[in-house]
Amino acid sequence: MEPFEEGFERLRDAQAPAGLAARVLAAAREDSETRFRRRTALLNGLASFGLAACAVAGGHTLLPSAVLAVAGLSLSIAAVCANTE
Amino acid sequence: MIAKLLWHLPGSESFMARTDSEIQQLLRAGRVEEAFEAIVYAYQHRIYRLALAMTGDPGLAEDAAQETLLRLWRHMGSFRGESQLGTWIYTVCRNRCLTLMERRANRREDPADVLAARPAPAAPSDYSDLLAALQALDAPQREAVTLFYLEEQSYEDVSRHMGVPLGTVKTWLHRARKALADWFADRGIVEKGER
Repeated sequence: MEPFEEGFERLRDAQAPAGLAARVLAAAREDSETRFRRRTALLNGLASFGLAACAVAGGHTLLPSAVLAVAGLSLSIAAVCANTE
Repeated sequence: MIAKLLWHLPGSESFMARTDSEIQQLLRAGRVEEAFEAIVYAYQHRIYRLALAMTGDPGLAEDAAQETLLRLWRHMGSFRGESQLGTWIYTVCRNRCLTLMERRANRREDPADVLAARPAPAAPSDYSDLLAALQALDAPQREAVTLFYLEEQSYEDVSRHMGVPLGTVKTWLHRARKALADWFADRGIVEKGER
């Protein structure tokens, strides 16, 4: 057997550093939660905007609806930005 | 809080190793988190070893393994099962290694970075010669020889994984074997039976 083949045999026993799996899983969980929060914030914002648009279309007072729409969108954008890495 | 409820992970102690086909079934069933955890436990050592052989640097290999696994996580939804799971993981790992090696090479061009660079942790001596010898090979030869000897893949599998013809793999392996044998011979490192 060539020395390099022996080297490969020994390398086959090498193990990933302890804690790698835990670190990766923790990072993935965090990533999952961030994505969930971002999606929720966006949906909330869109829902507020949608409600406001419906109110305007339904002939209700324009100003409160417009304020609600702008607030909804602003909240949504701020939440998405805050959650963006 | 709701987000936390989305991911019910079994504790690592109760975790059972899963086969590739079981992992693919989980993916098809949309149980992405479970599939990912299974991948981490099933492949972490293999990914690290591949990265170690590719980069020759334990510190860089750890970074590459971590980034590979996280990249797999971010792209779990895009894996359709058209290729084998191992092939997909290998491709991601290889690309991460190449990117990190390129980044390291670029950084080293700046003298300030060379001075600031922290020393990499030393590889255990039982395979440090091999890691050094592998670094003397061209990247495709190193990849081919690693898949063939470390992963114990057939010529056909190496050809499929690397996306090159069978003849090319045989040529690379022939050259790599010779170069590695020469590297060890030049340094007076002989076969065990001859010591």
